[in-house]
Amino acid sequence: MNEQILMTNDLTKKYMKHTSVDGINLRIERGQIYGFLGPNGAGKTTTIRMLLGLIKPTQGTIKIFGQSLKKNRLQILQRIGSLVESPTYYGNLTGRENLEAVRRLRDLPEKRVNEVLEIVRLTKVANRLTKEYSLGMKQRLGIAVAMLSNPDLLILDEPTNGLDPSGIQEIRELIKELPKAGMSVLVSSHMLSEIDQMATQVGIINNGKMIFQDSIERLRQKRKPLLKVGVSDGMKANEILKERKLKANLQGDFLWLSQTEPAFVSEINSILVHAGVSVYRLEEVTKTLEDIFLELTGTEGSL
Amino acid sequence: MKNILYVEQLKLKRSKLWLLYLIGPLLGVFLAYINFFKNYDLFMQPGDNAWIEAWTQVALFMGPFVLPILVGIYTALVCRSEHVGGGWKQLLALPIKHSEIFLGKFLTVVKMVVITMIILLILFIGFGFIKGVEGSLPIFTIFEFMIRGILACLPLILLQLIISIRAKTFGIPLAVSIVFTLPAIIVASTPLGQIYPWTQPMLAMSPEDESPIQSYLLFYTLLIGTFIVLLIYGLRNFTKRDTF
Repeated sequence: MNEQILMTNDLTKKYMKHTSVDGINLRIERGQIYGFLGPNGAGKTTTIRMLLGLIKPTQGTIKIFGQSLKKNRLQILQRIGSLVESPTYYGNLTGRENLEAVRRLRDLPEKRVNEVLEIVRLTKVANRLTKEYSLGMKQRLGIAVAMLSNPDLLILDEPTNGLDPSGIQEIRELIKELPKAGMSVLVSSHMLSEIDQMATQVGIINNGKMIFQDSIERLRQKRKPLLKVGVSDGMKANEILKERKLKANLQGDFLWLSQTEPAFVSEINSILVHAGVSVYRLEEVTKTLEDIFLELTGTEGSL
Repeated sequence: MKNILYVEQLKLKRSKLWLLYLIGPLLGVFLAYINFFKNYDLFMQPGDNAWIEAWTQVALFMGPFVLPILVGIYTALVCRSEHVGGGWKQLLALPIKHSEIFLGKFLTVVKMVVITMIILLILFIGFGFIKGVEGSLPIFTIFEFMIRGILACLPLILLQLIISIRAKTFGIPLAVSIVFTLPAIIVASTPLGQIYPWTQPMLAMSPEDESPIQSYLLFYTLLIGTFIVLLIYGLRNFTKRDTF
């Protein structure tokens, strides 16, 4: 079994009556890229703040690198690099000076500043004031700050926020490379497609509760596309398919089926048309994140 | 701690701080000398040293007005960069004790006050010579007043720092500073003056025969007491805080 580097037990945060994080058990192993997924306001940032000791849990424990965060906060933080929410920057300082500030506070070798500038491709603008930076550049500066100490665990909260497509691609490639050097990454996002492209492990949080935590493959299976069939008479078509032991789900004017292979689609079409139901649409639909949320939270029946 | 102080200084780069360093003491010294020469005969009794009498005016204008407002601005300034750029969360997620971050900011403001006071001293003596203040300059006495003034600022610095950490805007700590500074001169003549942080600098900077202080032992005990209470409160408040 791989080494558990981050483990929370029943992690809970309550503000007055509102519970923003509710009994979460996070598990991250060494070398994993853990995608922490959930809509805005689901509790991702609150969880991350607790992991960094910025706020205290109402209940539950956090263990990182096998140590209790409550007791060994400083030793643990020594090995963590983080970017929480919007990136931090001192606008009156240049990019290089911003990094230099953190370098001094962490007591790191001087050459690291140039190294991380190179990694996030900010070398050219390193001597410009950060208040003149674009959002994407600030974001990259934030990632550079997080990577400065060459941490064992990198915690990135929405790192691709505000980046253009090529910037997102760049950051994604960068993150994917990190485990090769033994780094583990916790990266949060509200976009499934993004997590899908870089994570090895996924945790989905909704309304403060962890509703899914497993490998990305297991999630992909849940994302299998569906066949959406538009017919003139939904009820009749459903009956016909039922007779043939084909499981369909009628929602509004559309029938939903769980297979999308070409042969299957043609067969459905042929069956319905021959039974006198006119088919005006055959569409392959990939489930959206919302669909999966609905499915996982079980609030609405789906296939 | 050396690194923390270095970084605090770095964050103030390009902040036009030097302008404050100049304007504050300049204002204090100007007002003092204007008042001093206008009421020269009133202040100067036989046997009085003109420099000491002029310094009394500096203590009167600088102490309860300019200095507290400057302290308010300085503390707000060292916290502003964190509030504006989201620096608190980055700073506090670094492997540094929260108490050291608080003390780093405190010491940075102390340093700023020391610089202000030195400039004040230079301006005071410089203008004094230009205006032709009579008598021999009691440099050590005045230097002592300055040191006492710095020490008496410490509780106020802590108090303003606590407020500046809480308040996200620049305006609130400054408003607090101004509002509480206004009654300072009235409070000074009451027993409360010795524990009122906005009055303490003036009392400490004033020559003995000009201030309402009866017992200096009591005054400094109270000063140290206020300082310790505020330090413990500030540190606890900062390290136990849960909203970053």
